[in-house]
Amino acid sequence: MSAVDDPTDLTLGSEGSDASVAEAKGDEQIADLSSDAGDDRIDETIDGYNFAYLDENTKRMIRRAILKAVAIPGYQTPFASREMPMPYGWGTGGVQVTAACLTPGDTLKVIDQGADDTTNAVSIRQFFEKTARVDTTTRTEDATVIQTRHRIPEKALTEDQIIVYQVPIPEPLRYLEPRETETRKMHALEEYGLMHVKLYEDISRHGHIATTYAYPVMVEDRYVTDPSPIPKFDNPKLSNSPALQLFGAGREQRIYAIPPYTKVKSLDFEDYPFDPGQWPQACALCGAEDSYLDEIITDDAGGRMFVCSDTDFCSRRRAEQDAAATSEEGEQ
Amino acid sequence: MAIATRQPNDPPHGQIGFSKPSVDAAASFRTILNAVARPGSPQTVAAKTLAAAPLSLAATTALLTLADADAPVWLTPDVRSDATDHLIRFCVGAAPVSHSGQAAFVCGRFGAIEALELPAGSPDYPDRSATLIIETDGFAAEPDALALKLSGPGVDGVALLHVAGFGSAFARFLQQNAAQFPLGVDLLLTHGDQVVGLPRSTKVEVG
Amino acid sequence: MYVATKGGEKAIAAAHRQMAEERRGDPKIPALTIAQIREQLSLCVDRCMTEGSLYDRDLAALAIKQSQGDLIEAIFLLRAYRTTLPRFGYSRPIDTGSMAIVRRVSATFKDIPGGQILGPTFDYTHRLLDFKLAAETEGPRTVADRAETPVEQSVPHVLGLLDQEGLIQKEKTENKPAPDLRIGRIDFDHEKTAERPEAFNEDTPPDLTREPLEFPASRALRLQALARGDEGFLLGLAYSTQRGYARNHAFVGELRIGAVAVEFDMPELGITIELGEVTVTECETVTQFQGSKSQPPQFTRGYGLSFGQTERKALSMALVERALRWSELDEDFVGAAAQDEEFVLAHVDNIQATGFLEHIKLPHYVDFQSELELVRRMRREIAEDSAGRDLSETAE
Repeated sequence: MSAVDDPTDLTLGSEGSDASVAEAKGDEQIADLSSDAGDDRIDETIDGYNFAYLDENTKRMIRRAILKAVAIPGYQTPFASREMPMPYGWGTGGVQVTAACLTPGDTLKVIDQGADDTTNAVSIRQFFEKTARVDTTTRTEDATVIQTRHRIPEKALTEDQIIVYQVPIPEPLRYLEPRETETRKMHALEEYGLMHVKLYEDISRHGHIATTYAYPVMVEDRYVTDPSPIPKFDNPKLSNSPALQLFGAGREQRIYAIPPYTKVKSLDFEDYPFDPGQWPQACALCGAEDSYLDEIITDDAGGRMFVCSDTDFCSRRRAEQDAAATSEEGEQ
Repeated sequence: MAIATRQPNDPPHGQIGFSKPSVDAAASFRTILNAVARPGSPQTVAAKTLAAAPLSLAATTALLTLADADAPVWLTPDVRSDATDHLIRFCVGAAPVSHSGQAAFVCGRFGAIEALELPAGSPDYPDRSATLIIETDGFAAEPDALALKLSGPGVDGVALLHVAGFGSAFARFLQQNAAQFPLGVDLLLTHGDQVVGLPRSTKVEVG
Repeated sequence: MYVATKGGEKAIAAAHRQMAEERRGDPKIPALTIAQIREQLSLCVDRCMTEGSLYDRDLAALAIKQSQGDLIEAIFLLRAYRTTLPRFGYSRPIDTGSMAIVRRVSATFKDIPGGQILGPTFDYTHRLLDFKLAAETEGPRTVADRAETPVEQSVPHVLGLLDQEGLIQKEKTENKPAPDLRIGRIDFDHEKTAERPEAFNEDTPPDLTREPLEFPASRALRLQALARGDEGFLLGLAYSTQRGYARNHAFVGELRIGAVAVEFDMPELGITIELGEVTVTECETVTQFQGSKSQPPQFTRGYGLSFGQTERKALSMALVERALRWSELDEDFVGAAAQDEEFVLAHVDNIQATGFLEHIKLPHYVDFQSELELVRRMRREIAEDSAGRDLSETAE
């Protein structure tokens, strides 16, 4: 209980004394000494952090919230989100949920926009490599925990997997009603008329529901829920998934869940049924006709091509095609 | 704050508690999470602690993993002992509560729990409800075990769960609980090293 | 042949190296020391400590150095560090009445017991660039005239003097939650929610950093959020109240700056120990209140408290805090931003705000693609429609 037991306190002390020692010396020396001392300390402390960064009290608090979230599918459970060493809005909710779930034996995959090597996915993966020392992978089927932003992998998930979504605005009614006090009542009373009105207005104005991502869903016939900004193309994968789906919103301090084998219905109307959309073209790299595509602008003249957004899915298909081609060549 | 003291003159239940709190709690949580996400399927906790008799290893593990000063525990009188006192006060560090209505975790046998006043959440905050850790006599498909048909989130179709030690009153309790959804309490059934999750979202029929 | 971009990892590493180089600047110029920042940029340090919710001058100086002087970035570094610190307990409330005062002004009374102490302030400086400072050779060290003995003895609060006449509102210990703005309260039958254990006594305020913020918030929670809040955001809101958006013409009853002791009870030993001192700025504003059915005409209070010398922050906080008290004082909600608790508290934190604002720099290829596809489709449909109409018109 005493401050002396705390290693961080000792480093604080040494920081102070470095600075005062430095003051006594010549200007240039001071500068270098002091800056070295400061930088070293930051590096050293990385090892001093708890497994998966968060302290045990915080993880217990998050774990309790996760269990309540799983017990009440689609309901946004408040939790005392902590400040993380990455900015709010950059996946702090997902990171906290992942940190609370990870065990040393896990294999983690992190994707952003479907890709394993987008900068923020790289940054989050490195964070867990450093703080939890877990194995990481890009192969969807090898992962036990997948943290994602904006996509669900093309390869079907399994019972042995947890997928953690990063969520910017967990409240599906937020853009219709900015007040938390109001939206909380709407959920309590199961009063979702506002959402239906909005979707219907879209149809009357544009002939379409103009929501193309973060398309609201009804979870187990009770809570209207935001699936995070995944394209509506991915919505069908939410329903009846064998994997546990957890959603973390750090800045907004909410965790929610879709348990395995849970009914998830994208909101629609009888005369305007939900349409996940499809692509007129196949992936220009692997030829897949059933995956979500990124549009790539290839030249100044507006040339473009469409390729899979799920980089693992696409590269593995191409590798298989190459292998097949090589073996065919060998046989000839 | 929890202090894991290992004094040589401690009573034998000094071995209650995780030796590697961070990774032991992580592994135990995943087992419990799996149990709650897949209602009715018994999950096995790894032996990372001595059980605080008369509580099972699974119940002891659940309390060590989830309870703390912010999540108080109420033990029914029939499961209180020096060992559980040690578990709650020293290992978990939970604040004492004067009645079950203040507890985040209520732990004991069903007979002692069913009569209690239990927080079931409010329509605004259904999550502010108790989690019950209920000791059972096991989950084997014995002829005199209560057979329950489970369905709902987490269950692929229908799952069959046998619970030994309880009669139809327990099934009625579960049905009433599920009928209040989204309000209600969430259950962890325990026996030995096994834990079964029965969240409020699970629909129950006697099968 | 197009190859999907790889190398996010390399790009990040390169960016970090480049940033380190930029931070150092021209290596021929001596690097800043933590001590230089702490001593010579002390108002930056104070702001970072206040909004970082961490009183540590050396760490704040380090954060400023590391962030190249981007103060919101520095505040973020402090917050992220603070979260990882173990919490040993809660100190006793600080007693600003026994502050060792370095500056104290009241705009409401010409002379007050304990006196007006101008102290270090920009207030009456002429804002002329001082080119002597640019010469970089320090002249003779400035020695300030100070009061012969520092003001150490207990100095009463100015608002306490008003209180003797019963002219200032009595603060309630129990804060009733603000009433709902739009819909009448709904009574649910089922209100058996779990109560939190009372680890402390009933007056112990909740802790914003340990529990999710919930609306309506208690006054204690509101004050915590404002104290951590962005100075610029609060300045703008406070200014708006002065210009008539929920006008509450505030007088500075008292602004005081100085050191206070931080004490910690150790119940197991039955003693209270002093952990150290912190410098704080405290501001109490006085606003005239016409009275209501339940209360006689009196003055009401707005309160601001911040670390170090952060006067603009403490003043802004006091004005906004006063505007947020409309319901407690039976005033009208006139729809002004500064009165709107959810609006103010949900947006006052600059670490939350900057994170979410800046996250739009992250890739959004996937959501953008889905919108692109929809817009193209809708344009195609409109074009087909009008083409169809043209044809039918031609046929006629």
